[in-house]
Amino acid sequence: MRTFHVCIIRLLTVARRPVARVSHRCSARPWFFVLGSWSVLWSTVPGPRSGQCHGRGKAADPRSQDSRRPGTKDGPRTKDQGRTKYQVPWTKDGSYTETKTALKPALYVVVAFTTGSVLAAGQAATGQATQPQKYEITVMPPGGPTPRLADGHPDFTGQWFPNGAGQGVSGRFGVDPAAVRQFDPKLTPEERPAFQPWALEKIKSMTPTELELSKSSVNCMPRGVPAIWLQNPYTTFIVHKPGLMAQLYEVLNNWRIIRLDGRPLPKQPEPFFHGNSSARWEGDTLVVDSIGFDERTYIQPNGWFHSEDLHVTERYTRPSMNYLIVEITVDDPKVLQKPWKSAPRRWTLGNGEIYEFYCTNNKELEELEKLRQQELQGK
Amino acid sequence: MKLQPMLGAAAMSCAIALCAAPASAHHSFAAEWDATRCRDFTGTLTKVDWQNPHPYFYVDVKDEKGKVEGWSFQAYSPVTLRRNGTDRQVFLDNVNKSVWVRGCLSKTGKPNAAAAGTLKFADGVLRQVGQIQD
Repeated sequence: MRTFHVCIIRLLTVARRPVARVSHRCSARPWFFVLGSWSVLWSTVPGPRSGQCHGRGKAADPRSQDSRRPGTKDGPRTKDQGRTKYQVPWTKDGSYTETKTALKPALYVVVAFTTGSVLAAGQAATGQATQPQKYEITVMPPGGPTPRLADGHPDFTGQWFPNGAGQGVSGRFGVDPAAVRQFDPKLTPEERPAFQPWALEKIKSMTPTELELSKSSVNCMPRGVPAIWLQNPYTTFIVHKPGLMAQLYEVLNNWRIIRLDGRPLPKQPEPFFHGNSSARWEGDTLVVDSIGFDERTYIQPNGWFHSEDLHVTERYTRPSMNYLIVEITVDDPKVLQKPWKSAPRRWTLGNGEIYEFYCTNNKELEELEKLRQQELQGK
Repeated sequence: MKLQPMLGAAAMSCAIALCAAPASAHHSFAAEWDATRCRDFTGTLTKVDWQNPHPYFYVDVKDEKGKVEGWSFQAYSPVTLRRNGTDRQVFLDNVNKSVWVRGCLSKTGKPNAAAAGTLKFADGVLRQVGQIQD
């Protein structure tokens, strides 16, 4: 027990300054769970933390003297210091602001006591001192003002990724979770669709495999509109000229042309995967109305099908150089009790390659069909 | 003390799980693959079929008795693999070399078929090549 007290005292007294050595007796004791929680709590205090009980006892990195506590007399606050999470919220009116959200101390108490002991013990085991999480891929900055075409409208041209990172983030380590999502549900919550009772029953009656087979990502059908903006992890290249927007989708090597010349919607539209579109400007927002959709498209990969009366409205804004915001409204009275509006979903500017992606060797269908037959036999 | 490496491993698992969380793919792993039947495979990479929507790579896996069995592993889409640094050339460079794979078995009972989550080639680098389930 004496060792425990020594560790606590050392943590509270030497954590702010470099130390030459910390006894490895501080590690690997049953009370380490408690100590681990304390150390993580302590780690929330900005500043060098070279004196924690990390096992092997090593000299502090002299460079740590430069990482002084931010916002104090020891040094100016910088963007990378301290426990401040930088986020890039996007407001509903398309304007862009960069804010910082301090994590609440109460949250740390909960998080620290539930996960801190394990993480701290892991650090002890590996001999690493607690350091703020470093991500290789983070949220993109605004990147400058909105580029504009000669006609004064925002220019949506660019290679866009469905996240905040400006590059593909699937299957990659070291990605800030804030850079992965398309929207922050705390800032811009997305409502759930209010299905008509019959539609909900139909969705619920689908077996797990039927649900899987309905997904365009599995059956290799075009995602269509609006799913291409709601369930597409791959990049989209937009070429925007006065009077025309070309959307080139990496997934399935697909494309869509939207005329911006004010042409009306057809009265007898053919059913297309991308629908029939009519576009107009509302200030700096490009509004695209579409009707006439192929019945095989799904709005989202959760069984959300549509009727022939589906009316989709897309609202495009580019609040800064690096950000494209797309908001979707789905109006389908036969399926929905009221129109559904998506959160403003962000896409960020990248400059990587667009790869060929023809879905021509899909072996999953065969296996999923086997499972479906098993499900049907079990019914 | 035995507790230390055990906790270290637990912490590493948590870290991997946290890193993997945002990497969920575009369709459900659970529909086709059994997350309760995942295991390690060690063997020799014999071939890769680099194709959409999923590449497959093949490994000769040797069991404890020395018996060798060929296994196929499904991976992320080629686009995803390219962007996360494990492109076709990486696989080709490791043909006929040792590989460690963590993968989960097919729900249909398809023999010697699994979905790969992570792997290590001879360079020892942990690479995510599919959804991580455990």
